[in-house]
Amino acid sequence: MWLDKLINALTSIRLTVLCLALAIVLVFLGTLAQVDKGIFIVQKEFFQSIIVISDLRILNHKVPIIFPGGYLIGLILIINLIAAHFKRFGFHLQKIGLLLTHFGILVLLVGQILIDHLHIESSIRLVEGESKNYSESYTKCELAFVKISGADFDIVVSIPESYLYKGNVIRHPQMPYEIRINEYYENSQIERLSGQSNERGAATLGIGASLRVIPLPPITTTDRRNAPSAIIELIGNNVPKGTWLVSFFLDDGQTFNVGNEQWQMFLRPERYYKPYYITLLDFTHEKYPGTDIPKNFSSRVKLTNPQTKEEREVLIYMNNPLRYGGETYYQGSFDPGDDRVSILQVVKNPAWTTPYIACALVGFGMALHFILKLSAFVKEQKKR
Amino acid sequence: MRIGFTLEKIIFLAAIALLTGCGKEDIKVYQIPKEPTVAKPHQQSQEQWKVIGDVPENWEEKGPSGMRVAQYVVKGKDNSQGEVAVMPMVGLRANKNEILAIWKGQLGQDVVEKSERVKIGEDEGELFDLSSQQPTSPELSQRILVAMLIKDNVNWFFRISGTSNLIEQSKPDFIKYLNSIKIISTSQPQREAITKPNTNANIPSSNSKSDFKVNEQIRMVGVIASAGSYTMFFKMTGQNSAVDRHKDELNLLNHSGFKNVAG
Repeated sequence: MWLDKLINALTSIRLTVLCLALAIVLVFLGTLAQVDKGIFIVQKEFFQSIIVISDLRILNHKVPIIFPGGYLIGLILIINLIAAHFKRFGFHLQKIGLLLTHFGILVLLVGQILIDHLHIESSIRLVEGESKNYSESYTKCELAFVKISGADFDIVVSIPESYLYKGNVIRHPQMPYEIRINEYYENSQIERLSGQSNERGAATLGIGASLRVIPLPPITTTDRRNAPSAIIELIGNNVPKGTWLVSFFLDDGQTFNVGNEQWQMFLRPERYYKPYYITLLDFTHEKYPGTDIPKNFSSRVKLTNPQTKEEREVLIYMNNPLRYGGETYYQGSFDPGDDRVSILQVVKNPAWTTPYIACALVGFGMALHFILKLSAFVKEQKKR
Repeated sequence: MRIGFTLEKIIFLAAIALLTGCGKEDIKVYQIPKEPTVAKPHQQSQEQWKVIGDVPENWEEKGPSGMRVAQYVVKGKDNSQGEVAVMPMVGLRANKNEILAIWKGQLGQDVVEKSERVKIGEDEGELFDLSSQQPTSPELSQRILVAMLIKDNVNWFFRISGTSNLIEQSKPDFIKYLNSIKIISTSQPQREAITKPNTNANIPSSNSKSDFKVNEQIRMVGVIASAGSYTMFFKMTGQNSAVDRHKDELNLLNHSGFKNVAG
């Protein structure tokens, strides 16, 4: 039966060796690609994918690459390891150490997939006295449409960056209109048109009527981020007819009416809202005398949770983060141009314990396997 | 090992299901509490003006916020609500039609535009009346009145917005408010050093440096240099970290010479 043949192949030790060899090559290729593409794109294309369809620049020539992705190699290794236990290793008390070691490796592999999907890293930039109930992604952007309601709440429809490509029409039951993406610039700069210029603006409606967009190549380094822009059009009844420019550079939302509903649109870093507020009370930034080298920096913040009526002050400094609501707030950075600004790094990682558990299981399993083998060896020696 | 093989098959099929189940991110919908209208601390420090005028009784003051130095909530007789905002903009280069396009965009399609001269304090400005014809009902259709004034190189915008009914009721009050306005500067304006005319125009005689945050990531550092009878503008724009690394290079301008190559 073909399935049995396939299972035989999947449980073979040759497949394990092949997967490990492919993983080594994948890491090597990913490292080379990182130079041009940057770490975030490489992570997505090479390691968080089933198949790598990409290219490498070798001696100024683009070489196309089709290779098994990190998820495919990882999943085959998981299947191979589990199936091998059923077919070859079996379940004996003498092999409990081996079983624990392999289980630890499985926890590590599965844990990494969980971390990829559940781990969120973002930041909050606060000026002294400012409060925020959201953090912002370092890399991802969102096209957000906010319905301004008369109540205490507004409704946000957040469209991920993956939907933003030329020609795409986006629709959602919460929006009484459709959005067509006429142009999308992954990285861009915007400029104001001169008052005397005859050049037409990037869009016909809103602030975009007086701006031009300059497309830029995508950022590949980790210390900078792309600043996307898009030209969009709303389709539907009672919507303003024309095009709008949405851009990472436009902080203030552009307002429009659809019938008697008022909406605002933004292209901004993806936001992660929280049911509580963080207020920066005081930011201390000490430098070594006579230098610009940071010595110590700390943020005194107030945590206010209207749901639990909690209100307390916390001091966040290096190696002393605030852990709250499943998230960890580290003293991330500061603004060299404004000594009242603190930047907190916010990490949400529900699977953070898996590497520790995996390492403990592998270590304990190997020790146990060694002890059991040693005792069996000693017993055999005594018999002789 | 029969049971083992059955389990292997289940794992294999589950893995196939997992492989095919990887999709793209979904559109998210969520509710957020309205953001407070208090000014951000870094904006308060940039406030330079105070606007005083005869505020009608049905206008409720909201305090300055963002670019707005004054704003009010206007309450209509039919419980409808509108908004008055006063916004100064320095160094605006967009023309009148481009600016009006911003507010026309808010009103939707079939916007009718009228304009008239209006007294704003002791000066004369222009009042634009923008009204949407969609929907046709005056309780639902939106209307905006914008008064524009250019004074001391600052573009002033006085805007009232709301339903057509509300704006019709509030227009006399809004014009009275415009007539009574006094603009008070709350900070000393920075003045460039006036330099003697220099025909050689080859040494920067004075310069001033400004540092703006366009948003949380982007920053702009500008230098205005006077050389003889010329004023030059140097601009460095980019990501916060990049501008920070290179901004000191602008200080090199202090040591640069400018030559009038136009003859």
